[in-house]
Amino acid sequence: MLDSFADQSETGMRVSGGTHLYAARANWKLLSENSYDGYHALTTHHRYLAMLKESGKDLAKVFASSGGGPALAWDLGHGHAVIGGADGSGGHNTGLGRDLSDDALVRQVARRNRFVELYGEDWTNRMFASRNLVIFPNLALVDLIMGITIRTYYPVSPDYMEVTAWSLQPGDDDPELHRMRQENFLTFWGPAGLATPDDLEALERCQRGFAAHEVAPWNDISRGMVRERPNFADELQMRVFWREWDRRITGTVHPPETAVLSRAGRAAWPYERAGRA
Amino acid sequence: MTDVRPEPVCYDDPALVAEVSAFLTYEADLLDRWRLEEWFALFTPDCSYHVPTTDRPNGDADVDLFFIRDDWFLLGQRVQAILNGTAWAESPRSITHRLVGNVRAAETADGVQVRANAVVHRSVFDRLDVYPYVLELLLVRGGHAGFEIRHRRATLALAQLRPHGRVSILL
Repeated sequence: MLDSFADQSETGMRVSGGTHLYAARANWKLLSENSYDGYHALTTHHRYLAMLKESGKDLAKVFASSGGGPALAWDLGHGHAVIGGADGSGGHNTGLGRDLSDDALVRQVARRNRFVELYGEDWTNRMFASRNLVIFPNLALVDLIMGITIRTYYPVSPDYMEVTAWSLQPGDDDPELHRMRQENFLTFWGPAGLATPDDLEALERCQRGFAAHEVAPWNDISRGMVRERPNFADELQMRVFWREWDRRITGTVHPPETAVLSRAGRAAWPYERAGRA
Repeated sequence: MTDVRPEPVCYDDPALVAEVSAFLTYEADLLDRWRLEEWFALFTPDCSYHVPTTDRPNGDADVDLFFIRDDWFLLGQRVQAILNGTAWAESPRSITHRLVGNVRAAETADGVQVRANAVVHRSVFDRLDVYPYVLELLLVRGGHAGFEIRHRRATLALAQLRPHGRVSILL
């Protein structure tokens, strides 16, 4: 799985200088849920999408699977899970942020074509689509195509966490492509982006709501539980997290995701890259 | 024995400092009163608005990770979302209270270079967060307020953005 991040540069990926050292007044586990929640974008990130639309970006194209295949959720075992799509646009869908300049897009597509030679079409299409990965319990890698964040988060108290986040970029980008990646990253990510602060606000308001746990003891994450194949906007990934968390904390072994198991086998990440071992 | 007498101090032109201070007070007032469209109108179309990270305050926006590296379009979108209530962290709006001081100003070939200390208290629900920062501006003469802002850089005087967790207001 991590290869799909590492393979995006032939010379190695590079963490940019500068760190987002921030916090949220919410329980740390909420940020695991949020990091691979595929359902909240339209409401929580309304202003981000409004910005994209205003910039002239074709949102229908961004959200279309563009023939690469459906965006799904995968149980990676041991509490790890990922949601991700598959690009079918030949690298023209650059996802996050404003459209690239024509020049930068040519270079981005050239990079993509080079990776097809190295790794094959399937793997490259995964790399050039979004992936939200949570490595159990508190490390998230999220690739929104033109901006990859690494973030980790620690509880200081039950209702306060500290978050540390970085920007991961191909080390061999030319300066123009690098600049546009940084820009696209920052339009979305970070404590002053046009998206992350709204996530944090949502988590903090959830936390306030949880104060009513005695009268409302349940948080429903059953979405997609009876679907033959849970998709990215379902909540398979959260159930994977909570099963493992509960197993470690209370020793309870919960029944597996029966719908998926009986019909489709264990929903494991099915993609292998060709070429380099 | 070494001569340790300091060099004579050259203060900035008091008239220019006074002029710039009046402008800074005006725009801080617009921000605290949420008159954000008027505030945004102070920016030139080729403007930039940068906030570096706390661990790299001298960073280069083209290379390093920042908190904010807006151009005119993105700053306009930021302002619109705060005003129309879709920036959830500012819905309901927080109470902000600004102080600007220690103003330095110098005429240059590019415009008036400004450096000032600023602090804004932000209060919403049961929380109070304090944002101290160094404000660096490049001003050009013009507009209804006498100056327009071509570049704005707010460098937080904080080691971490904790416990604040966000910059949802304009610095």
